[in-house]
Amino acid sequence: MNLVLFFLLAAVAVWTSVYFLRAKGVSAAGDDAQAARPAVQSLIHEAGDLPFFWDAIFSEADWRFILNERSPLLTELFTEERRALAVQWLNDRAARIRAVRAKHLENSRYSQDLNVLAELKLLALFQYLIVLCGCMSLVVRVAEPTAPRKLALHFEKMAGRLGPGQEAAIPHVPAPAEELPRSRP
Amino acid sequence: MNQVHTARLGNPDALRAYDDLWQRTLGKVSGDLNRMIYLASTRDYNSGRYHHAGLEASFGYEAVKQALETAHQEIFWKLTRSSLEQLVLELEIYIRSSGESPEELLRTWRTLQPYRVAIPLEADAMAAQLLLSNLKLGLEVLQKRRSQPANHL
Repeated sequence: MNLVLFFLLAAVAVWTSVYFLRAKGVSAAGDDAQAARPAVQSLIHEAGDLPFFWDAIFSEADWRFILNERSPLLTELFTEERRALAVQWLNDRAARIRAVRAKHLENSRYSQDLNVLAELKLLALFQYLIVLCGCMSLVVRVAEPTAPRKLALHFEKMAGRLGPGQEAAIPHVPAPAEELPRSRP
Repeated sequence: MNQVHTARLGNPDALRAYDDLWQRTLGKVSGDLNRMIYLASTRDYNSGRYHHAGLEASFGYEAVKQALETAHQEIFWKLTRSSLEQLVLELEIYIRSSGESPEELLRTWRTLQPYRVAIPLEADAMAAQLLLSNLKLGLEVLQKRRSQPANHL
């Protein structure tokens, strides 16, 4: 058993070395790729990914407003509508996290001064966010419309960490996109 | 006029057209839903291009297009950020100002969902879904109130 574990660890060590050596070998091409790469923050902050969105979907005020109408049909319709929106939002978020992770993995192959610890933390964060999306999807399906609110807030906070985390691994992270304007009074 | 408008509106003519649009038209329309419906009505159904003959005569087609597009986007975002309760108020204002019978308007809106064509062309899909869903809920709230008026007296 110990022998198997030893060979397994050795294989991982060899694979890691080959991976990093290969990454160094293509660093020249990597400089160009890094210049052309889309910003992680801009991928995260594309339209539709606005801070108010989860707040609106899991809005407690809207839920109270509907409950005050005292209509089971309205309550049911509201639950259905918000569930559909929440599922759509969560699918979108999970897909975007996966896309950013794939892009990051691709980019990190070209990095010459890769911080392995920061990379591992970042990968753990990516996984955590995807698992969190799965948990929220479950809560959305079984609980009342506002139930995932705290989880969504936590998700947004954790997703916000992708900025500094990425910055540690890849030096250049442009500022987030300009916030959309509020309407004229 | 704030800096965001300035950034969105490319040239001085577009800025002037935008101001004129608000002063002469949008400012006199009650409610943001009314404004959004009005702005959507200035857009050609087939081409998606905005037209306003009066403004175009003064500011030119391109400037007016930018002004109408910007105003449409802004009002769309404002409505998207509104709570359900605020949106129900917007619907009430719209129904009152339409001059139509509330029953008929509610029936038509709930059946045909004409408000779907009032969404800006460049609107984010999820934001549009949120607003459409809230409008649908708002109409159901109003329909329920009309059928059970005693609960809200």
